[in-house]
Amino acid sequence: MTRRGAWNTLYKTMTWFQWGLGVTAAVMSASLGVDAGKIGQSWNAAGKVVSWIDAHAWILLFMLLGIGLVQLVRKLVGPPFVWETIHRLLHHVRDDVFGAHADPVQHHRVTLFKHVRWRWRWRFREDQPRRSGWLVPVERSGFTPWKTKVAFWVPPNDPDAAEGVAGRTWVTQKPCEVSSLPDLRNAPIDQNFEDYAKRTWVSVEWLRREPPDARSFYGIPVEIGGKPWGVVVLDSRRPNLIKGDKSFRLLATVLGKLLERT
Amino acid sequence: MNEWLSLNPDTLLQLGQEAGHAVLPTGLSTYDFPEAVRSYQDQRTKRLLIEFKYVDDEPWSLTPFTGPVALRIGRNSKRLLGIELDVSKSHEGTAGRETLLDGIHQAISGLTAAGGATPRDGNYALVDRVIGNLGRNLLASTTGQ
Repeated sequence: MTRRGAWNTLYKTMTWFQWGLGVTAAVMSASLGVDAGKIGQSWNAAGKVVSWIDAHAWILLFMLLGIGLVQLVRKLVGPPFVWETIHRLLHHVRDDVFGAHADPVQHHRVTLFKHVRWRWRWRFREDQPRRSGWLVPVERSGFTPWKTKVAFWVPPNDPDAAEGVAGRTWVTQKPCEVSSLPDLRNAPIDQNFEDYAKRTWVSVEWLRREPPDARSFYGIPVEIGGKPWGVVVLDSRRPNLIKGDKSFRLLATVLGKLLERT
Repeated sequence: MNEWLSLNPDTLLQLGQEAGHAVLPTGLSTYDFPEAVRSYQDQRTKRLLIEFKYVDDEPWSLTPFTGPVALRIGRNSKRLLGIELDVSKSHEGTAGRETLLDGIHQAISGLTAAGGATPRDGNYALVDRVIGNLGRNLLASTTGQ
């Protein structure tokens, strides 16, 4: 279960809409050369329809344009089966890496971040002016619906300012491992916040807004056709659990092929 | 060796490093590891080709020949996807093969030297390591020597 439910509905609606437009355009095109008078002699209603189509043939142009636009929207949204497969893949990777431990599912997570140039936000804080280059979460392992507004800024002209393990993974395009982080929930002292912030490339203020539970991270770059696409970040509430795993290779292989379809 | 020879990432990391070959940097990306290698003679160009297969495919560009060696570089990732060898009679025999291998090593080293430290140094070092360990077999099977 993910927050892509609305997108999946949009994709299916667009598919039906495109199909309807295509059939209508084909029927209209086929009836353009037909003699409306002749048809009207045997079937009056059909004759009127053909006559109307002849008089409004310009609509065909807009219908063809509409088919193209709908295809563009479908491409941007991505097929539901691809995202469902990616979700299952992330969950299997989570089970492969953390499966031996009988911890609750939310204690160990695998999140896919996509790099986008611009990010829509309803509200802007004074300390976060409009900036370009973001890593936004698009899918996460687990069975329950998830909602996170956590996105990481990766300024295109200042790699050193990239935020978080995700940002660090993005700018280096190499795996990034951080472990043995302080427990901010149970020991929220200033020194721990400073240590955590320094080692995860975020500010103390950023951490204080919603102190994370994770105590270890592992970031993996994701590419499509040799071009950076985003990153996958594994996080765990255990301090020393995430290690380079063979399933990361499978993840990279399958993820790239799936994301090509979106 | 026209067929692909599978390369295990763990084995690649453990392969003995040839003297003078680049040291592997830490934190290599999954995408930097070649999954397989093969060599064959291109009937059209008459060149010997050594190709590497990766997790992902991408188009490539050929670098200018340095002696008998040119490198196929991924247009997007800049990874080393293949090696083209313009061989002549002087490259036959054991000594000729060693000359070719040395030329390949120099060409790969040149990739790093030309641009300073690059994000693909790990990939170049891995390929250099593969050539150092399997290069003789790859060339011998292709030339039938």
